[in-house]
Amino acid sequence: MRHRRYAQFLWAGRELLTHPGATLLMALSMGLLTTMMATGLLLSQALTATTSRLLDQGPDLVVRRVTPNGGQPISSQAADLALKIPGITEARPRIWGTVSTPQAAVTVVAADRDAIARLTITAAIQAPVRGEAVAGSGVHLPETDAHLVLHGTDTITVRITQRFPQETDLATHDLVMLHPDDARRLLGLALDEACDLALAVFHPDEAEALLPELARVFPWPVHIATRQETRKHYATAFGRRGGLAALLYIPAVIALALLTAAVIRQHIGSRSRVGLLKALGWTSRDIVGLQITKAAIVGLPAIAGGLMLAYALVYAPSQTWAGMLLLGWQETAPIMHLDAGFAAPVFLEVAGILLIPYLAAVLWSSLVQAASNPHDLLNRGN
Amino acid sequence: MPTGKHSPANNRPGLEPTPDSPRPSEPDRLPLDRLVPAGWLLGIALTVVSLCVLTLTYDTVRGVFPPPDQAAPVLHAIGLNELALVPSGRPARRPVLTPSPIDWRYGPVLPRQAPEVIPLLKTAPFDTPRAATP
Repeated sequence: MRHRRYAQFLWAGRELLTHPGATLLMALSMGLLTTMMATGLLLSQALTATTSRLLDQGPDLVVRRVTPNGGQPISSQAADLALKIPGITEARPRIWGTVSTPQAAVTVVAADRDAIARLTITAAIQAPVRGEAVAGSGVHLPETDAHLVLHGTDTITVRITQRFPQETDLATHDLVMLHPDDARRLLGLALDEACDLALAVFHPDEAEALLPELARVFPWPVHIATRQETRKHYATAFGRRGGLAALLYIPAVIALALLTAAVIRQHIGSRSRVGLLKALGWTSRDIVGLQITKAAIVGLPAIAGGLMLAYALVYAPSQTWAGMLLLGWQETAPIMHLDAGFAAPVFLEVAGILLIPYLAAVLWSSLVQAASNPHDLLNRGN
Repeated sequence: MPTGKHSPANNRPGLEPTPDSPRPSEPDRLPLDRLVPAGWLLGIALTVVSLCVLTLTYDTVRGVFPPPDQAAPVLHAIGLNELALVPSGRPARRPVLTPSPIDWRYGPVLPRQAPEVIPLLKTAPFDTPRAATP
């Protein structure tokens, strides 16, 4: 029995090799279609999960002073006001903003005491002194010089003495960390002023319950952003891009329909061969088994190869194409170290979408042939 | 002695096939009637599918036991709530309004900040509407 089945596999392979060009084209089309569909799904899942995990490390709440003219700096003493509210465990005045360089805009952040204490342990980054800076891997410098000109409220020039590791690109790709005095000068802040206040709460899930109390404790109107809002911001951005990427599915579905039609046509074209096999004593079951085996020998490896290619595209160690193509980076893009563990549902989903219509088409046309009279098949085939 | 396809030896009348002579076989053209290449095809197919299963297993293991991540502790240290997924200066980069000296206006003729109501009322050259006469 086992030998018979092996012989059937071999015979199916032999039949496929009678038309090697058509077989190869069919496999390539299915593989590319699979890659196209799986890459988008895998990338969106991995980006959402990675973003969510990274944002969990950021502040629970961000308090910003607002006026009708926009944001205003806050006094560093505002942290003491926030800490009066039970449930708030940490209040950190932040000095940061977006400024321009001759090449591109960058995000600057002041190296406060907390930041340096943690960075020294985690990434071996030393505190920058005045006139020096730590930059991410995407901050470009003139070739002959290590100095970076930053244009903000004031213009300053700093020397890049350290770089953040490339593994931290998702957080630091175009980040410049400055001495607090340099950052204040650049952003136009007075000595005891900060841009906003980052808060940590004891129960992150209940952070929203603290919003009314927080709004009351400050003597000026504030805007409070929660982590949920930040997550929603990123989810919306990915959703919008994902929606655009979904437009690719329209040609993919058309291609799938064409492939199915090609399979049916191929089977109709092989009527005389099936008639001959039936005349030689092959049963209907043998005929259906042969056609299904043929379809599986082409379809399964093609889809498996396409899925592997999609996985490699998304999780390659130095993957930057997503940033370049989808997220607006031009000369340089952050290396995406994305979270894994989502391949199984995506693989099953894509394989199901492609295999079910393909195998259904094969099964239907095989059953029609198997049920026909060999004489008719031979006559019509000729 | 020349043995090529067009060599004179092949043109000798003695080598012409006659209707009664056995038909020449086709050696080496279709070894085992393509069954050996079919075996190779099956092997390749099985290998690709096995590699895909291995990829799935690798992904599952990486999901359960993730490698140490450096970005998360650094983000915790600098205390920012935005990621470098989009270039700085793009609106999509900012989860909340960023304090920035960068000019965010859509056009250079627009005011830098939203004008306040009182100065606007004082400076605007409004015409007093006349009462409609019958």
